[in-house]
Amino acid sequence: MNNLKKRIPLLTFVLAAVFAFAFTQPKTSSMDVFGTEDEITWYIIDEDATLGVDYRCDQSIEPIHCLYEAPDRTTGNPVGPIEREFVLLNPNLPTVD
Amino acid sequence: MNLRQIIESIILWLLIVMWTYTGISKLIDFASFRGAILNQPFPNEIGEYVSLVVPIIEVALALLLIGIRTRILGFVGSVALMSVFTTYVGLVWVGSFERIPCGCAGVIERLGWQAHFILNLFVLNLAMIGIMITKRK
Repeated sequence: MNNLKKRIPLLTFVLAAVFAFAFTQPKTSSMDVFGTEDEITWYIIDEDATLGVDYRCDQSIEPIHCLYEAPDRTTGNPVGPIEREFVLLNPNLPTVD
Repeated sequence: MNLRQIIESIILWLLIVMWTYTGISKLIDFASFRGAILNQPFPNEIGEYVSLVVPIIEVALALLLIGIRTRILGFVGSVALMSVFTTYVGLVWVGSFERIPCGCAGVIERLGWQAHFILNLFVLNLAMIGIMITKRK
């Protein structure tokens, strides 16, 4: 019984590790999303674009989203929570024609 | 088993679960975590190191907490790391930086900065209680 009690922390570690592997999925989405600062120029956020390097998502008081599934705020499904604004860092990001 | 031992065990298991889960999940979805760190209001050069070092330290703390001889070190490390996290989250929450970033992934995003600060403070207190109880032995 004492032996088992001593091993509980290790068992806790193993269980938590198993849950981490079970409930965490690496980001594998290959779908492009879109962001804009002014709703005129839409930037394509593909697999090569890095958050924090090519663009930022900051908190905003406006009821908008940082990224959308289509280059249109009214028809495109938002990605992520509301009150987030897109901020361009890399002006060489591809844009929608 | 007396009350102090029960409290110590609960705190120990909570910290092990927290550090293990958060550390390993950050390593599994490293791209998202790295992006969330680079989105924070400190230079990306620092962010690149932070995104690698933080999950490794978290798993290391969990391992230190498992060992009986290294447990006190695990508690001290937990207090140190939680102090850093709590201070940073608090500074973001009160608007000390020129902008308020989104967490963009994980717990911060769901909780918001204020709730995350309160949660961090709670865990920090647990870790400090863990040190006090373990030292008394």
